[in-house]
Amino acid sequence: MCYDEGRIQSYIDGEIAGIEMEEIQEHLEICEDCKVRYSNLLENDMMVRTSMEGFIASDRERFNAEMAWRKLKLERMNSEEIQEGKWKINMLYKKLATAAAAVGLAGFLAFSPASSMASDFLTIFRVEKVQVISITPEDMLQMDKIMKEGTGGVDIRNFGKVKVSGRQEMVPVTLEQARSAVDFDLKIPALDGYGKPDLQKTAGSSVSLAIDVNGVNAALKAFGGKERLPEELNGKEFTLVVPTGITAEYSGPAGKIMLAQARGPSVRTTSGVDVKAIRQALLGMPALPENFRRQLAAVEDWQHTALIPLPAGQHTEVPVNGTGGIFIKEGNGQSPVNVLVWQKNGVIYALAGQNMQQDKALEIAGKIK
Amino acid sequence: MLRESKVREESWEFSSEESVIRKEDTNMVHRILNYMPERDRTCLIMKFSGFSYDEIARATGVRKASVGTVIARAQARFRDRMLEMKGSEF
Repeated sequence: MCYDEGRIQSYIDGEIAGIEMEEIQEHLEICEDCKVRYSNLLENDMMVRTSMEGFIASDRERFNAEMAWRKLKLERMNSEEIQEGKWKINMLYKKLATAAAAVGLAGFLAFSPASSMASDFLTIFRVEKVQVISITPEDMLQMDKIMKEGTGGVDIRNFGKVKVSGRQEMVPVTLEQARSAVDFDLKIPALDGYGKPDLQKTAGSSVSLAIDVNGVNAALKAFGGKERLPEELNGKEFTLVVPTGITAEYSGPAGKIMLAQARGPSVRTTSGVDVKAIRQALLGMPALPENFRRQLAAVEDWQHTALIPLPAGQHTEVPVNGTGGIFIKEGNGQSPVNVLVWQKNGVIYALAGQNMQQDKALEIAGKIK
Repeated sequence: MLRESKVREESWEFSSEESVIRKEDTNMVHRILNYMPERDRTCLIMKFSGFSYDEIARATGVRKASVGTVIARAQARFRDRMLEMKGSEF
């Protein structure tokens, strides 16, 4: 049996092990055709390797220099910034955002490496799905306390330098502007009983953390963790990038419905950062509420999962357009805003509506394909 | 002992010369990568950064069984393009 170029390339790249590797080895000794294919591929591989390795090494230097030069418009992240008077759903988002910030540590645990050429040479962790982890008020309090006061005199701010760029502010846009603001196919369905929606754009923003290894290690120690971050991580930047999002707000007699869509947020870091080690170190902190740690550690495919911390019992997992979605029910207020969140082809959709029940949400979601 | 130090000297000289060549190469690589479809580019960058096929597959959406083929073809095109560019320089 002969091997195609893909198989032989896998063999060259050390991706084939065990018996199959031996089989290929033996075959290459006896088959002229495969031998020629192999030596061509190997020659290409060596040539490209020399160029690419030099490029990657030099690009990394260039990237670091660029980062030093880059002037980011710095602004303090302010949770109060979300304009008042905006519809109640903002409150829900705000609550989610606050919860997410409170478990900022969890944020780092929720992403994993993929890579892209998007801007120079970076490792990118992109969110591909959403998952709820339940959090009790006690957990929340404990995390909040750690964030605010630190433990044993350790301040969370010692973790490194934080830079915030971009403003999370919504501006009205036309359909055309909205379409050109995002790099995916915007879905604006027509809803029965509702007029044309008002569109708003939330420009992308980013938060960077240049990690201070000593600060983090002091914290890990104070929190009783045994793992330490390696010295090489010092000064490495992690950037949480929240891409531009478009929100369509529909008004009708039954209240309002809002559909938000955006690419999943991603975390970028320079290459060579051992994210698994960081995850291990953070998960090893005894200060993490046990209930919380268990859930974090249990997240399968943590690499591509964004975690939404929610009080227990507020959500149901439902299939949406062939992918996993989460329906979140807000308490028992007068007109609760319920939200359906799902991810499709790298775009995260959030559909929210006053008194919107699950079947109604799924019906609307069905129009977004 | 003597021989060893001589070798080291030579290789040092070689590497300083090589670093000049490298700068040109780097620009060329950048140009070649720019012309590539994003999928191929990501595969190559990830491969030479030490990522496994499994990770490459997850990042690019290419089936793991096809990563080898994508890389083999991308490398062949990379090489052709490189020879073409080098040829036009001289």
